[in-house]
Amino acid sequence: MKKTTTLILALALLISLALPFLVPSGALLDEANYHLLEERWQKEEDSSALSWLIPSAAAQPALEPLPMDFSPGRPLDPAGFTAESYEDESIRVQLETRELEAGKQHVVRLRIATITITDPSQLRTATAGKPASSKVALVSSMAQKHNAALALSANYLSHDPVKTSFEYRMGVRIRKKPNRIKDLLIIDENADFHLFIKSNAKEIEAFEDAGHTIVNAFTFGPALIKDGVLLTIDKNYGYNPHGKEPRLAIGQLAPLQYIVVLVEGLSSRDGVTQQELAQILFDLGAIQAFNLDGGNSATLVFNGGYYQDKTKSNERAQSDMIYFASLAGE
Amino acid sequence: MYEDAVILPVPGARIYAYGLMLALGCWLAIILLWRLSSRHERLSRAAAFTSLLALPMGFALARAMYCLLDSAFQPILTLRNLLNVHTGGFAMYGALLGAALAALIGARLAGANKMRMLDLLSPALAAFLVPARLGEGFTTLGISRPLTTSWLTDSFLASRDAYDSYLRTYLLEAATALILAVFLIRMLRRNVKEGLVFSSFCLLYGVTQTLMESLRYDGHLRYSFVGVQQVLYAALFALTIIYLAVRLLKTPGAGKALPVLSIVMTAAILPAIVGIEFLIDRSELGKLFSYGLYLLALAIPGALGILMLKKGDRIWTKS
Repeated sequence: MKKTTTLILALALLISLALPFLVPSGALLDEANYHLLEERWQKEEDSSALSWLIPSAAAQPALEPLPMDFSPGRPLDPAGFTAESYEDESIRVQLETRELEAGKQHVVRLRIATITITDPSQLRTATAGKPASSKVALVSSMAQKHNAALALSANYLSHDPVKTSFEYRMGVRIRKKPNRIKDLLIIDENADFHLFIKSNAKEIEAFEDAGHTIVNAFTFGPALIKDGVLLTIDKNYGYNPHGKEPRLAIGQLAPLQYIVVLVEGLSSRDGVTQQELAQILFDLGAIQAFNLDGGNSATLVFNGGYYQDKTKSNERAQSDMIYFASLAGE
Repeated sequence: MYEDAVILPVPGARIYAYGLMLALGCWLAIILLWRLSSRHERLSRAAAFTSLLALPMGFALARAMYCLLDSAFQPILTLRNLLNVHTGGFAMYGALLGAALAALIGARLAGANKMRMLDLLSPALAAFLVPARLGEGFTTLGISRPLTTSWLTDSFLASRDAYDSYLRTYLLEAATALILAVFLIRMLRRNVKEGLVFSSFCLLYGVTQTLMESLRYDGHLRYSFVGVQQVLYAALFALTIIYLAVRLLKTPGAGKALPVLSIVMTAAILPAIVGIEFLIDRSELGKLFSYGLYLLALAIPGALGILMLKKGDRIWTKS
């Protein structure tokens, strides 16, 4: 009997030798995840014949554009910074803080950034790890590494529990499954914003058929302003649309002109509703505007610090960010 | 830029460093289990069956649990993808559960005492975890949020990438598993009542791993902001406390104060843990302070559980 026991134990030891050949990681490998998702969505893709043309701005860069990849922006000129602005020959960032009464005895702080760039390649995104990975980093760290004149958190794409979303970063397709209940922001080759309500798949296909290149795409929302029209926010939209929450939104004012609004309350869970946020951006002149991840995810980084009441201690690490870069540095 | 999984440079073969560490863990666990059970023939046979069954069962449950519970895998969940293990994706909780089930089956096949078999398995599982956790260093797992405490960022506990420094939580987890293995072996040698070593493992591993899972921020098995394994580990220690408390309450003369207090405190601690998680994410308080608070909160059910185990050992061994 002892012999049998020893044999069984030896067999168990032998079987365990298969593990080095079978188990690469406890985590799902990024590349495998990407390919498997692609494979599945490919099967589900339906075709569309609708065409939809959106005018886009043509930019005449005075300086060499940045490559459309994950490389950083050019170094910033320290002399270009003031407490609330940055300027060089390729970019202008102007910051402003306003207080707004959002109801009875309810004051919120608006952190407003207006950005003018000279080339579409200056509106960029960065990810903490490989584009599809769940790696996270502080937006402030990513901003520093990428020479961001202004950086903001995006939609924390790796944190989406559903993963049914349409996501591009710097021309790299990460996910391509439109989410029927969420709005989509696409930034094209001219750095123009295009909003797709409920991520309408046919409209997206028509957009691509019209010859546009998708550089960045974010599934989150809701869309706040579309083609100059203030939208009414669906009461069933995600993330507490009617709650007074800290919010972050990005909008386009004109070709190569953008606006970022971060709303923070006097307490960490205070802010505005999504409809109020839409109104704020509308009043500031946005023609397209899109709500990004709010709450403690909302982060606005300027000149190595935060343009909001935040510290490194409570900054939430995230998978990706949007930033504006300079073309001027060497 | 980031290695998903380190492959050893062996010509003609793909040998994963993480898999190799898992194999090492299995060897360590099997040898320890064999040594611990060698004095009793039935237990020795049960240990052999357990070793043989634990590998496929642990492997299958680790994979199944990951595929069913991970939000990244759910959209691609098909039988073919589930079986394609080369993509990675395993849950340690499932592996441990598979091994425990294998011990129960092994004991039944050999006609051995099931609880004693689980007792013997406990230090073996802890020993398995030491290299298994160290192996996470060869993957993208086992790292924390970006560190903001300067003295930690310069220590050997931190790893640095292009952006930030991260705590190597896998080192802490390996060290904790080693301490747990030693503690459980010593407990076994004291010949405590059957089942108590396994209960100690469930209690102490559940408590410590709840904290470790909070420290981990590697996106593994998370559903939005909720770590699935953290919930399971919290449930593990909470259920162990309830089990011990109910057993004591049913034992005449064991007294009611300690088990009732344990249940009440555990019920109070669980929401407190959720609160501390929010504090860690949102508060400007230093992470070190928040985790100190976390440790204190978890020490309460841990200590109460140990007191119940001691009391239970005294009373149940007599009876």
